[in-house]
Amino acid sequence: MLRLIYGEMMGQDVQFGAIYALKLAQSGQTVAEKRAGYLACYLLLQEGNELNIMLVNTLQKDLTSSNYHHVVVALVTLCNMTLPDVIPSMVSHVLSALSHTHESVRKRALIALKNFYTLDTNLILPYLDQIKDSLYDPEPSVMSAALGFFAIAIKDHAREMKELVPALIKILQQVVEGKLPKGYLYHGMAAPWIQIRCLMIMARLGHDDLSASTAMTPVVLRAFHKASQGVDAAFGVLFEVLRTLNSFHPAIILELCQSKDSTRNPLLAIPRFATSSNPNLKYLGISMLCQVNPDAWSDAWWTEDLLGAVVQALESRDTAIQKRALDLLYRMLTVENAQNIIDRLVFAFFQEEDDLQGASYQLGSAPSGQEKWKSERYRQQLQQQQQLQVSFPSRKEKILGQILDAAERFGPSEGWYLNLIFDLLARGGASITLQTAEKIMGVLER
Amino acid sequence: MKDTNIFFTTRLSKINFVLLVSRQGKTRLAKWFTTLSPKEKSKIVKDVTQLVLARRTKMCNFLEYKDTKVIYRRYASLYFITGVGTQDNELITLEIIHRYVEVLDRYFGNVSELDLIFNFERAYYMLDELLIAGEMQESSKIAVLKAINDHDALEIEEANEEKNK
Repeated sequence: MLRLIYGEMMGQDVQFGAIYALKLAQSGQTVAEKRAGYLACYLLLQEGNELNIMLVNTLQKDLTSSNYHHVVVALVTLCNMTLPDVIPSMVSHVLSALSHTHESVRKRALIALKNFYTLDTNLILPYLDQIKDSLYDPEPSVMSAALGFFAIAIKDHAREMKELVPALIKILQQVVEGKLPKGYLYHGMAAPWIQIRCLMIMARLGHDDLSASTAMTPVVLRAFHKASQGVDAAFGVLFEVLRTLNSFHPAIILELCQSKDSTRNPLLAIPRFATSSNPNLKYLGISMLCQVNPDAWSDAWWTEDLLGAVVQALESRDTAIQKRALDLLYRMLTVENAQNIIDRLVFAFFQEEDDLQGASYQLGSAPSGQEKWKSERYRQQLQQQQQLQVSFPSRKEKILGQILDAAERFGPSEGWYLNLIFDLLARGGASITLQTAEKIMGVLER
Repeated sequence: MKDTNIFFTTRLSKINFVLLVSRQGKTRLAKWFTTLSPKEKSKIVKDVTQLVLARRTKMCNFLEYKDTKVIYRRYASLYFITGVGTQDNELITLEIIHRYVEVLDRYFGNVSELDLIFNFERAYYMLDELLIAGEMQESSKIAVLKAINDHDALEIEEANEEKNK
């Protein structure tokens, strides 16, 4: 069975093994065998397969078994499965598992419910209250799983979930003050993943709601304060804090950005990252800038160094940082700097294609002798890369979309706009699709 | 604004795949949290491996591949690679990778690539304890190790029972 799974991992077609996998899951003597059987099952069984029904029976038997390991294994399979037809019969069993004595069962039951929710929303909605109770579970891992559920559910049902606000505030407070067991510490940072989940849910809850946002801001700032003293995971939390604060009601961030006090103004932390020499931190700094609400750009925290860092990022040899800086520029568009920025975007758009052609020309004229075979290998690598680049039209299309949008909103004159469009059409090549052409037509008509 | 709309379709830190690749490009572990055809999977593995192996040390650990972000880190001779959605928090994913490595290290005692090659099903199981359906489900290192040790003890027990039968 293990070899079967290995084969599947390597990409071979092992469908013939599906029935054996099922048999093993059903009648495996030890937990290890059952686990292997189930693992193979959910890897191999897809929708519409006749064996699914047998799987349902096996699962039901295991879900009600007295041996908690069996329940765990069955639940894990349910968590990972994507078979909508199986779900309805399972829901009641999973719900009863929510109040199982063993915490790993409860935890996995919650995640299985989350999986069900993503597959079929209406089936789970009636049980929201039961899930809310899990938020108060004494075991932090169960609470975290419940948070995970709400993070997904919150997107469509924010209004019903407003009562969660006080609960979330309390949870985040407890985590930040370090009230969780020692094992949750990560390099000096208390349970960063739980913090981030809380922050994500809060962001959605506070989005247009001033009162909720004001209630949640103090604890978010507290989390920020703790995180500014940390490393590693702390950086992730800082990013999330910024994202959350910017999704709150705009009044919050507008007020905070004016403050010069570093404990009150999270934006003051950004320069430290953007100007750092560590490439990851630089990336973080630029990403943070992307998240900030454009109205919140005030002199209180924006420095000359920051501008220098952004320019440096644009010219960076690291393409990831470069791309982020371009995204940032797009957000920074105003009437004054529109032309500059659009030029930059256009430049980047063409660079995506020219870059590779230019490089391969260089190689063609490589010096002879020993250098030649080295350059030959490099050329092969480059060709592969070229093939890769050609299959990433989405990046170019994205830039093109940004250029068109920016030109529409901030174009100083019609003549300039027409020039730009001609230029793009002439050199755009494969990226100009019918859709973009129609869009341009629409604008020209006006 | 356009950006806020994108935020609402965010999935919570959903990891799409986890790949462990050696310096020569051999796959040591592949875990997928989305359903894709085998052809698509192998294409992604090939492309992402190429992209990651071509990176130099001074560059940051984040990449963009089609519509996913790729986050990787090199530990000795292995590249740990994950793919996440565009709206996800990259830095925390880097820490998830590190957490996984920490757990592996604690379990195998100074883990090496060979350990993972010979005990790949345990590596899978540990990943399962840490991530389910693409999300971190247990952030406490102690709890993860405890669960795995419990499980090992159970296995030994059951094996003994078999022997005695």
